[in-house]
Amino acid sequence: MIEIAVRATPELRYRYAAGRYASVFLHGLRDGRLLASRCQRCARTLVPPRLACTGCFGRMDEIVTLPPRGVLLAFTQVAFPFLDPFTGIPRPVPYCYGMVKLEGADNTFQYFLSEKDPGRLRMGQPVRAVFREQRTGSLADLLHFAPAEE
Amino acid sequence: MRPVAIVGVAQTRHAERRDDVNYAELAFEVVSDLLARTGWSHDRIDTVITASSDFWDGRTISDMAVQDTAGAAGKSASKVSMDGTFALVYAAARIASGAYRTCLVVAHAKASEGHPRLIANAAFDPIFQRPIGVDDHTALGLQARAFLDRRGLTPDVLAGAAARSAAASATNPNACRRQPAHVLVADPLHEDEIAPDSDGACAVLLADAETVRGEAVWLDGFGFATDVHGLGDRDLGEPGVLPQVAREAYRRAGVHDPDRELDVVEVHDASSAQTLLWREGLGLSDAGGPAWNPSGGAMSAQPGFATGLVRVAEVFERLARGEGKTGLAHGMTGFVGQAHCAWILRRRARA
Amino acid sequence: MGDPVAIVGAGQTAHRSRRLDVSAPELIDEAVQSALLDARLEPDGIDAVVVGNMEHFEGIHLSDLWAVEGTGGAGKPQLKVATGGTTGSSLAQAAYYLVASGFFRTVMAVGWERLSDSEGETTTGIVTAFDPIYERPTLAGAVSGLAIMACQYQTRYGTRAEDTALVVVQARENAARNPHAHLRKPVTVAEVLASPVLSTPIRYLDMCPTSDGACAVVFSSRPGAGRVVWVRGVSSRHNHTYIGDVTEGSVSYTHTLRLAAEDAYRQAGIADPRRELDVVEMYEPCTWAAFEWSEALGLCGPGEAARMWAEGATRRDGDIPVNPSGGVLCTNPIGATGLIRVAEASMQVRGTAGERQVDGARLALATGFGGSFWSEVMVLGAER
Repeated sequence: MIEIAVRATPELRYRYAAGRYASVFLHGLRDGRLLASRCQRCARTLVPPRLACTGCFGRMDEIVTLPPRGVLLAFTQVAFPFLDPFTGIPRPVPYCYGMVKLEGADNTFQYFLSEKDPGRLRMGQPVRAVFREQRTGSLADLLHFAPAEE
Repeated sequence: MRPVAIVGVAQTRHAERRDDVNYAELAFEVVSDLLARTGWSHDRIDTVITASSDFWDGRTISDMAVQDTAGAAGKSASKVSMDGTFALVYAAARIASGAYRTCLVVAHAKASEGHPRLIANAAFDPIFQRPIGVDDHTALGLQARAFLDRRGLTPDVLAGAAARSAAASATNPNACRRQPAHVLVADPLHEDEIAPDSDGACAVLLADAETVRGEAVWLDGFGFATDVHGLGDRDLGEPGVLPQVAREAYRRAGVHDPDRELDVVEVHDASSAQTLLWREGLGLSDAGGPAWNPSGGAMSAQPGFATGLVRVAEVFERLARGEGKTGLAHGMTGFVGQAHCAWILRRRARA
Repeated sequence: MGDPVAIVGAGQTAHRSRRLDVSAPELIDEAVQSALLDARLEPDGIDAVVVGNMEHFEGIHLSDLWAVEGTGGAGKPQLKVATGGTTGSSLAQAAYYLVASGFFRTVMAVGWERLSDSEGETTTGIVTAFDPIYERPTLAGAVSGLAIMACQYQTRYGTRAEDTALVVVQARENAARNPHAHLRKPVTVAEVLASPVLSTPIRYLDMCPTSDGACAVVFSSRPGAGRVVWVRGVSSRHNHTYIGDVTEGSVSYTHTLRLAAEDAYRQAGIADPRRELDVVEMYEPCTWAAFEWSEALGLCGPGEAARMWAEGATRRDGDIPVNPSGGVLCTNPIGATGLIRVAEASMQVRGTAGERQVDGARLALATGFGGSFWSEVMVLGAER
């Protein structure tokens, strides 16, 4: 018996509302700044900013600017090609990303690193944020984190 | 069933579009509101059950973000991928098992971020049904036509039901305000005879008999069941598994004469045909009996999987205000009532 | 704590990369029929069904409603619980609570995944689990998330690729004795090291596969005669959604598993898991995770997992057998994987594990893992 398969390509497009807090952050990037939210109750500072404090369940009402510097707490080089759900095409590899502990933040920020060779990265390495020249208010306004010379 | 009480409820003002918050923040809003109303801190919540749809959120395991904003990090939580009334069953079971004293149930949906018609099409059988372009609205049209046919009725009864729903919605501060047109969408249903897709959320706080003192609103019984899937495999003009579901809820709650014993009923009516058909399915007579969809039902707002939980909230609020002692809240999952769930709520002293 | 609950039967399909010989309802039916046979029950004997499946991966919305012919849920109460990787274990928990509450006497949990229906990749689907603005651009699915975790572990303990490779070598040896397992061919340490790096330090052979398969487990408060296994502890914890929130300085990613295990051990009266547990079916999405989970579960001290594995303690004939079924590294139908851990653990205690049986097993552990470091733990024992 010949097995039949029916091809279907559901194309579901989404229009994600960033919400007020993400909008503030993205506007900040356009202005070349890294913004975080601070909880009025427990003083926790989290980046990116958000409404709900994931620690004490308070409202994060204060927006603060963080210095564009931090240290690398973990990293990996992604080396396998896979279909990117955002673009619909395979994501270009290899690339490195890591978890950056920004100065003044209580959590870490996940982002691309300039260095493509993981052998040249290390835990605790100081890094600095590098912004693009042309910025439009999207996450891509932040190019990557590069090793900071001390 | 072992005693489980509702401590409090909250719902958002449902809207066609809430661009000021992402879905997780919408859940935070309603949970914060609930905690403010009940005076509880989030520490008192032992466990959390959420209800949402990954497809509507455009995100797999979308509940992770909701649990974060519902204060569930570090707690035991789970998620039911069905309407909030079904999640309520799991929540009540967690308390009735004795493992937890208190439980928060949160349901949310943002219809504005996806395309509900296209998403609905994706729920139908990919080999036999999707290719003909069926979605929830066209399925509702098929059901409405079958219903009118079986009962020998004309379409003006649908307009009549829609008018009554609209009048009730006008008194509901949380209704999603819109100006529906009397325009044919899926014959014989017009736009104003189909529930409006909304952005909204609802939260319900449950507790066991030791935590709740004095008179409260108790979850006295439930019933739920799923019918077969294929539209052609069941008679859309009949109430499907709803009578069986209602009987189960009445049996568990000790309700013998629903017309006389129920003071208020809130059903999820996705169309004006369902407003009429579900009444039959619950075993209620045509006239008299309990207050019927005083909030306007789903015709006032239809925030996806939160819709049934909002019905629970509406019944709770009326009973808590003293507008009756016994109520029924109904929710659905799937289209044209494939799965139904019914809850009996009673205001009474602790058993 | 409510009604005591037993597992009275379990069934699963032959898990493969593609089961093109069956439709999804037929695949599910295979597992369901097998579980009913094992439980010696007719379909009427099931009062309610809890099902789980990650519909996004399959491109079928409300997949549970479509599959109702296969799950036996038509005309019955059916709940769908879907929590990502932990779906299977969440199903087991939901079924447990529905029975323990007294709401139902006998409940069947059914999990399945049929990734061969979708021509996309799991990584693509998993990337959508994370924030569309902040995380999706960098994240490469479960692989890179686990790689970030492994990076920290490796830095802390100097673990080598040869150390973690032992986990999959042993898993394949075990899977050779499990007719249901997907990947059953042996691998060597050299082959693991030669496999391509996916995301440093995780290699291709360090990662679990994706499989088509289904599993069903029957929970009941009225077990019949014969060997029965009782649920002795149930717990679940998960962490924040945004991965950046999980790391706060030196907070471990395995925090949630440790807390969930402590809770379950307390319920079950277990003081020394290494000595008291007879077998562990853990949800290890990659070899590195097996080390981290072993330590979080208290089977060995921090940084000692490599030695424990190298010494053979985790072999089927060792003093703390881990994944005699071959584990997730050999079989991974996402909606079922966590439930298969429960099924396998229950079979060990009931003595029905065939060639992969651990002799005299009376106390078993099953764990589940998923996004936001969701950790679920179930303890099963021969005593009530």
